[in-house]
Amino acid sequence: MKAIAVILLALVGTLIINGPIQSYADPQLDALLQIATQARDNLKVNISQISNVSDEIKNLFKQGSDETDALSNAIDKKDVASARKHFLSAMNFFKSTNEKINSLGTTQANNQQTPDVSQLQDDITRIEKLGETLKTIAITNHATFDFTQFDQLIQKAKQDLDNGNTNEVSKLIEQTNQILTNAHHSLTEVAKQRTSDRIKDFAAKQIQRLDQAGNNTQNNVMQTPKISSTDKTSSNFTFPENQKDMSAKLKKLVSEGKVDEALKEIKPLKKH
Amino acid sequence: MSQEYQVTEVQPVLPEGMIFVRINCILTTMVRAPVIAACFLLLALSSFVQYAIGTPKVLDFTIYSEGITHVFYQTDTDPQSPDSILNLYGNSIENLVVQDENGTLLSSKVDGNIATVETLGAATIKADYDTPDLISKNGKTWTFQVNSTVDYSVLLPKNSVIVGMSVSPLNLQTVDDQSLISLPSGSSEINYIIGVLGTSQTATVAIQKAQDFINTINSTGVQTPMALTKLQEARADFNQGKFSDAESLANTAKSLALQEQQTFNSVPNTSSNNFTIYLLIGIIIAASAAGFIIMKRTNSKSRSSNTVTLNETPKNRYVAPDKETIYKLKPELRQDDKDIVAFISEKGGQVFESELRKKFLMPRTTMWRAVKRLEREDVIDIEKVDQQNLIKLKKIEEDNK
Repeated sequence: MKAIAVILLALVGTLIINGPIQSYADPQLDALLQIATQARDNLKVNISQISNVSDEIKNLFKQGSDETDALSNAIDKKDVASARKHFLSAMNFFKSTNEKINSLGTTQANNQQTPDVSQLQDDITRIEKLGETLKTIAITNHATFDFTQFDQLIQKAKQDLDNGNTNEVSKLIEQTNQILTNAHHSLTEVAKQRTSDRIKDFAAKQIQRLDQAGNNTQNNVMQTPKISSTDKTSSNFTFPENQKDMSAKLKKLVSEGKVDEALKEIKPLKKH
Repeated sequence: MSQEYQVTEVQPVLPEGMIFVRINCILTTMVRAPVIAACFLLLALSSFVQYAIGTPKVLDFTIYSEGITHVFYQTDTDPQSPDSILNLYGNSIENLVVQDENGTLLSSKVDGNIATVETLGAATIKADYDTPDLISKNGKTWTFQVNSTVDYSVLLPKNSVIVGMSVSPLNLQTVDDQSLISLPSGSSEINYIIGVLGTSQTATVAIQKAQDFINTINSTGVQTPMALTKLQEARADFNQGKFSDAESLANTAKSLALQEQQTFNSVPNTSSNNFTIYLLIGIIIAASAAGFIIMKRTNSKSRSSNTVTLNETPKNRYVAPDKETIYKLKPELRQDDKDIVAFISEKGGQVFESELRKKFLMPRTTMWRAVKRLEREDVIDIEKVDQQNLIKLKKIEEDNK
């Protein structure tokens, strides 16, 4: 009976310890194949655009392609370790292939295919997200900053982008960037201004904690009179007297408005 | 009672599918039930504990196509501590905002890649910032590199294709046409390129749209020879892998088809008007050819202008201040701004912004901000030359002789 209970507990213990590790250890194998296949397809297009492809590039690409096939086979067999190995090997070959293609300096045709429109679109998305973050922070922190112009400029930038007016979009992006810089600056100032209030609250909590700890220590000292003298001197803050002193000092500093000095006094306390 | 149980025990054959359980076994099992229940309880509790222990930190990287990475980091802090040290990814940090668990904005000081946050009782901090330092570019290949102590996720730009990866990902999802990869802690490198397959797809769509449009017009009895010729050219370019050109030609074919339709509808079919149609077509062709030549010339001019313009700029009229003078006058300049000043100084006091981007491998917007910063500091002037920004160190004018 006891033995079975122990075995059961041991099994449960093993499940608890190994459960999450197991679930993390198995990557989604389809993801590996998807990434490797995309890389292969893309490099195939790239290589097809080069007039005289060197044997080195061909070999590297072929090895990467073979490793991708091996990865596919490993996935079919549910062989996780082998799949990972083939994935890393395939990606390594593809990386080398890509580097060799880059070194040919024949990628100018491809470079021009990177559309500016896409970059501008991405830039607008980034700025819009940043704007949303700052707006949320401004609302939460009751900070007043007018984002109306920002919203208008973003809308105009989107319209101009749809109309293909990329030069105008670039200008609008710079303007929105400037507004966000101002908003960020304004919010940073708000945070600084409110820091002193937060320090006061924090100091009050620390004073309360010190008072509470002082009372507890005093009770403990009264209940355990065998405490050694060396233990007493080992810490400055195990003494209720010192804690009371510190508490009183902090109270005084806060009441005098010297919150920064109070904070300086609190910082070393954390070490104890 | 026990005798009755004995009788059931000796029953010879049970119907198929029935399990015989002795009553004393049931009793034993009932005694064990609390143990099993305790085990299940432990398992259930363990999942909560693992969740609590396993998810104190969140680290997300969002990569944008111009090379900027947005970092979101969330971690637990000691509520008794007045401040907290945050290691940032990258040295050039922009738009840093730190909030606590309630969304209260926290004050922070950044020194290099370390931020000291005045947490003042916060139990959790959430940091958002942008950095260009995690991305580098070689040719058309972008590389994202990071060394993290926790598992993290990376959201790649739209139309990006991974061509190299140093670690095995934990997961891959597609979110709004973007790849979201989960990666394990440690050092990792992702190489990706933007636009090749995407442009192929957009070119295919453009050709298809043009073809459909031309077919519709042709079905009404309107002939579109020019549009069809242009569409054939688009197909030829597509087959050669010139996706961008193919897309452009397909769009032109569509426009030509529309023009041909309008011409057909607006003009009666007489011999004299045929002449007008041919004249119009001739004008369109001539205009297209002229536009093409002008574009070609503009492109070649702009390509060479980096060197030619710089060489041709009369420098005897200006004396660009040397970098040491600027450093003395502006001691508060950031180190990376000083590097830019040094480079401009080495280049004779003026360079194109594109040269700066190439030299410092900075994304367009980051470099633009740096340039604007220097302009605000009165260190440089920005001039538009051939639709490019020419950056000049503020010159000490000599006599304009």
